[in-house]
Amino acid sequence: MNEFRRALLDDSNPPPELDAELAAFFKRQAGAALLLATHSELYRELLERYRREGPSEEIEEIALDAAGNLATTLQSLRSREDLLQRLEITPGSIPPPVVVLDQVLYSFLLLTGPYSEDELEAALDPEMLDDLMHAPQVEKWLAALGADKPLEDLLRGE
Amino acid sequence: MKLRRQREPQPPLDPRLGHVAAGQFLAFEANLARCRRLGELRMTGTPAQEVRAEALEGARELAYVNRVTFVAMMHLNLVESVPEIFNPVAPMAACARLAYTLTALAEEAPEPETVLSDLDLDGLIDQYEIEEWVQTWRDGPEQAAGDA
Repeated sequence: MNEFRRALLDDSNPPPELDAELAAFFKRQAGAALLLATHSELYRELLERYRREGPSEEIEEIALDAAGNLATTLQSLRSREDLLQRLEITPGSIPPPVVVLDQVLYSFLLLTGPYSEDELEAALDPEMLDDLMHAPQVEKWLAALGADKPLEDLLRGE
Repeated sequence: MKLRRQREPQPPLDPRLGHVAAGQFLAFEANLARCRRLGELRMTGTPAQEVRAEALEGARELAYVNRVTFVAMMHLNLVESVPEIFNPVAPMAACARLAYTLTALAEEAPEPETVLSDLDLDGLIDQYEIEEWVQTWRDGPEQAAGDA
């Protein structure tokens, strides 16, 4: 069992003011926020490497592992569409930007497999990624979950 | 004498949306079957290496279709111009869930709950109202206006 992915799905330590259902959802959101912050940077680096070196087994392994992390969390979030919708309509709450997380996942997937000009064009480029990461909803969500810190702090678990 | 309710004239749908919708549906249908088949193989002991290429091919196809749809919605301003009944957001979500499953099936040791079961896969069509969405497209905008 992948310990990192288990931790992403861990339901422990939600804020006390959340009801039971949203509390169970909380930790998964925190994991998703961490993933978005770290994997958006990983994607930038991997895309640059892909453009410089072309496709390789090593790039594919890194891309698949990253996509797997995102897929694990996103399947978990989307399996509770009812809670996602509750968050959309609850005043003061900030729902997870699942569609933005999806774009990063898809872009990792498009770096796997044989080289395809069409597929590479469809993947996020750095400017598009910046636009998504600086969208107000995304910035608010990352800040609310404490994932707007410098990357090295996030990776140290601070 | 009953007056007929005046029907609101519907703006013509951007034809590019039709291409996007068709691509969405075809990718969903093909990869729903792929998820079942590859899921069965993995469950009965087939190693990940033997299904990986096909699982990733399907995941990439869904990734490509959903990326194109997302860009079309955002940059062609289809968000503003698409009547809700034609909106591809629900089919995109259904395709996303298949992409997560195929990504997991390509891995050696996926998190079990990431791979949707046959029951979960059957449930996607109802949950995301895929048949209704397809029928709406088959009926076309004029029928949809008449039903409103």
